[in-house]
Formats: sequence, structure tokens, C-alpha cells
Amino acid sequence: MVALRYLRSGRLQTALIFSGVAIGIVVFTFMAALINGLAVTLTNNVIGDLAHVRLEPAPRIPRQLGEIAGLRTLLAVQRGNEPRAAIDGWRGFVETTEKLSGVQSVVASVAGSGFIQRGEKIAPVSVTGYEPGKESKMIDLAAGITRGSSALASGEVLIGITLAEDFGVTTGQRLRIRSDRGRERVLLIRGIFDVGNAVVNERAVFTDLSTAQGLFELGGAVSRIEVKLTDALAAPAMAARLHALTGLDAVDWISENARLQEALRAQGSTGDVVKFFAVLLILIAVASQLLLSALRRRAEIGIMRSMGVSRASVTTMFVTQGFLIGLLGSVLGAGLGYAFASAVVRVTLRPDGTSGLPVDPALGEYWLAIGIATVAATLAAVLPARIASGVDPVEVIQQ
Amino acid sequence: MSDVVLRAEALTKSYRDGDVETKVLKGIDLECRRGEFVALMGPSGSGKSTLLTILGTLLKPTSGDVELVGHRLSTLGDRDVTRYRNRHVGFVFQFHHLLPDFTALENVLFPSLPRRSADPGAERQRAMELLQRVGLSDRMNFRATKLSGGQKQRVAVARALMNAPDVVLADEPTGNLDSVTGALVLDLMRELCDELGTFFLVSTHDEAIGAQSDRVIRIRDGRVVPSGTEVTLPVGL
Repeated sequence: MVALRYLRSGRLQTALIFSGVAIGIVVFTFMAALINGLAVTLTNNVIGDLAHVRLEPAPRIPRQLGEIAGLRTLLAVQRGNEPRAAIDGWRGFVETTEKLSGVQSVVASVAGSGFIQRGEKIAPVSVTGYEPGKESKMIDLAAGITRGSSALASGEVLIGITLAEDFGVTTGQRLRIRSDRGRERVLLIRGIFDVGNAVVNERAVFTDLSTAQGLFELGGAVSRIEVKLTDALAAPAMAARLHALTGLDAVDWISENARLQEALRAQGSTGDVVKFFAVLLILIAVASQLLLSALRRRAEIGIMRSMGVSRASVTTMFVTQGFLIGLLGSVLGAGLGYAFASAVVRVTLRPDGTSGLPVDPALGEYWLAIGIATVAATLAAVLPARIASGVDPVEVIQQ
Repeated sequence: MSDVVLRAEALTKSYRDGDVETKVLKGIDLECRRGEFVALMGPSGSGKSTLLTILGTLLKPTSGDVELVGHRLSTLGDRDVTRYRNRHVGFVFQFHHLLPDFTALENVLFPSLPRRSADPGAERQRAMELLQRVGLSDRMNFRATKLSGGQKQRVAVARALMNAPDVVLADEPTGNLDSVTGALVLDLMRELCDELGTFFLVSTHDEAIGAQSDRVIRIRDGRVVPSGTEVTLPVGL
């Protein structure tokens, strides 16, 4: 009751300290929304078109000759000219993987290099063949289609917008594709896509699985199984699990993009420093405000002590004030922080509907901010509370 | 149950500043009974306020002991002393020392808070009755800052009586009031003493208060002046 009354009685001071805490929390939550939003944007940009885990066959290594008695043997293993490794019986692996929790989608694919040719023009391309109906499970081709359709039938191909412009072709026309195994097919252009990635738009072509299997002489096998997870950050653990389950090599996107992880960590640390100073600001503001209050109310505290209010009760009175300032100020700040982050998103909105700043108001760590600020403000009240509880009533009365 | 509510035995109090020791109280013996209205008189610096703060458990004596409603304070810890003070002692100060952010009613209720009563309604009722008794039933919800000097001091008297203490210690309670208001406050304390049977010890310079008291304890240079000898002592002794 006393703590609340003291907060209510000094309205201007209370309003100022609440504002201080709230502004600290706005800084905290906006930094969190910005840093986390940036991390999500960067990660999506990097892994949006990638499988989170890739299952591949172990590379084939030529069998070595056994040692011949009495002779010194020098062995050299020449890599690269062995037959292409492939996954036979891939349907079983796909079914096993699909049943695991945390798996969003599983697609078997054939990937390889080749060339496309039209008239005198030739260009190197990467060819990927997907199971029918699963073309958009890894790269969202359906969303990027600018002409035609993404649904592939046997003998059809999807090409990027840059490649189509370079070759002056459009849907309904045909392209000759020659694989690095020397096989050739003439494929019908079913659709043209723009996925916002220059390399993919210029160099990638997608076809159906059986066409790709024919081009790369894989028979009924596939060259890899691609897995997307509901939580991309769980990829290393899932890769280890899939390797144990299938015996295939399992490569996760995180270990393949160590630099991105380093950049995200560095960015996160920068954000943490700003957040730390925001909390420090709150701590100092609350401590100084309550210290001032303890000194200003010295006489009143002395009288309370003379009436039998214990030191512990005086301490509780001040710590409660700190707690209330922290809790209510941070709740206010969290609300303002969300509103501010949302306003920034609206103000920087581009015509295509994306935001000019990678701020995600949903990632503002509001509960964390409220928790930290409340604890910090409560701790900040301990020193003023100790000073207040140490007031000597005799000294106050005699003054 | 004994009528003695407060007893002081051979109380001394000294303050040391470096090598210099100042003896404020030099062996005070007192015995006070329930329902007595006693004036504590003496010149400035004679040790009246120090004696009141020791009797009120706010200050520890250098030697000697205080017995409050049968309990020797020297045997109690800090927490128990605080609890005893809350339960058995009420204070009225020269300056009312009301809490400015609270109403008259809340100020009177304040001493009951540490006791965490199981019946807050009854506590509130008692506070209202006390305010009515001191003539402030129409000012209960006024903030302390909105009351006159005399009204504040009457609220302070009601506050001192909130926990139905055995002892009320008043340090120059009329010293900051004009003579008419001071007389009203003094009459009020005297009436409450008679009505409630509470022991009042009133520190004062005012001989008129002494005249209204059951007993006068005179103190000079840290010692109680034996009754009947005080007028013959030369000034300065």
C-alpha cells in the first residue's frame, strides 16, 4: 500500500521513471526485432532455396589391389573418373525420413551438370530432376513462375527468366540439353520462373525425375534426397539422426554455411551489447530515482520506524516500488516497442509488399525484456532500500 | 497484573567524540503506573529528550535497563524491541510528523499495519472512533497537508493511541502550537489518559502542564531532582 501510494504521490517523478524504463525497453525490443528479423531474412535468403539436410551416397572409391609378396607397391587413387554414386532404393529412405517429427518435406532428386543448346548458342547449366508434383518443395518455383506452369510432365523443363531471355525462348518452345554423361534430350519449356536469385535464374533448369535419371544414366536411382525441416536450426541434429538411420552421408546447411553462422553470431552479439546498455540504463535510472526518494523521505521513514515498522518492512517497501516500476514500465515499453517496430515496417513498406528494414515486430523478445527489466529494477531498488532501512529514527526526531 | 507499566533502573547515557565523553544521563530511576499523567520537566539540554527516546525503545542506554510492561528490553533483540515498541508505545512529537501523502485516517491506521491484523475492518473502525474522539470526524479523509497545526497534532495523538499502547511518550507536544490550541491538545491528552487508563509521560517546559499533571518529574543535568528540592538548587548545577 505504502509503495503504491508513494508511486502515486510523486506523479511527475513516477511518470519520468516509467518513461525511462519504457524507453529502455523500446530500445531493447526494437533491437531484438531488428537483429532477429535480420537474422531470419539473411537465413531465409541463404537457405530459402536450399535443403536443410541433404542425403547423399558415400563417394565411390576404387578398390585397391592387395599387396603382392616380395614387391613394393605404389598406389595412386585418381578421383573423379569413377562412376557417379547414386541412391538405390530411395523410396524406402524417403518414407523413413517423412515419418520423423520435425521433417517438413522430403524430395528425391537427380542433380548434375550439362549444357543447353539452341542453334549456335550453348550455355552451361545445372540440371535438377524432381519427383512429379514435388517441384516446389525445395525452391518455391510455383510462386516464382512468370509464364507457363510449374507442374512438370516427362520431357518438360522449367528455365529461369535470365536464361530464357539469353536464348530468346519462351514457353511451348524446345531446348536441347546434353548432360555431362553425354546423353541428349530435347525438352519442352513448360514454364519460366523468377525466384529472385540471379544464379538460379541464369543457370538452373528443372525437369522431372525420370528425364533427369535418363540424362545422367542413373536408371531408377537418385543422386540425393533433400529434406526441409520445420526448424532449420535443428539441421545438424537431424543430419546425425538421418545418417544413423540410413547410412547415407547427411550434410546439413549450417555446417556448409559456417560464415553465415559467424556473421549471425557477430550480429547477435552487437545487438546484445545494445540491449545490455538499455538494461543498464534502466538499472541506473531506477536506482537513482529510488535513492532520491529514500533521501527525500528520510523523515517519514524515521517516523515509520518509531511507530514500530521494521527494517525489513522498509526494505520491502522500496524493493516493491522497484518491482512495480520495472514491471509496469517494461509492460508499457513492450507495448510501445511493438507499436514502434510495426510502424517502422509500415513506413518502410515497398510497393512489392516487403519491408525496407528487416524488422520483425513478432521477434521483439518482449517477455524476455519484461522479465529482465523487472528483475533489474527490483535489484536496483536494493541499495536505496538498504539506505532507507538504515535511517535512525532518533536522528530524524531530534532534527 | 502490576500497575507499573514502565520502569527505568540506573539509566545512563554517554556519547563519545574522540577522547571526549559527554554524559547525558547519569543514573535515572523511574517508575510509572497505568493511568498516570506525568510531566517531565527540565531545562534544555537536561536530558529529557534522550530519556524519552530510551524509554520509547528508540535508543539503547549506555548502562541500566528499561522494563516495559514486565519485559526487560536489554534481553530482547532488535526485531522484538521494534515489535514491543509498536505494541506498547505511542509517540507524540513536537512536530506532528504525519505522513504527508496519507489522509488523517490512514495516518492514524499506520501503526496497526506492522501487526497485520486479521480484522482490518475493526482496525479502521477504531481509527475512525479515535479521530471522532479527538474531534476530527469531519476531516478523516483530508490529506495531512490540508490540516491546520492543531488538527495535525490531534491526529498525531489519535495515531499514538491506535494500538491501545500502555505508554504514550509526548515530547513537547504543544511546543509548536499557539497557547489556545496547545491547551486544547493538552486537555485532550489528559482526558484520554483518564478514559483509557494509558500512562502519559509529557516532556515540557510549560509549568501549566506540570500543574495539570498527576506528578512532575524534574530532571537536571542528567539526574532526576528529588521531589521538593528542585526549587532550591542553584542554576547551573
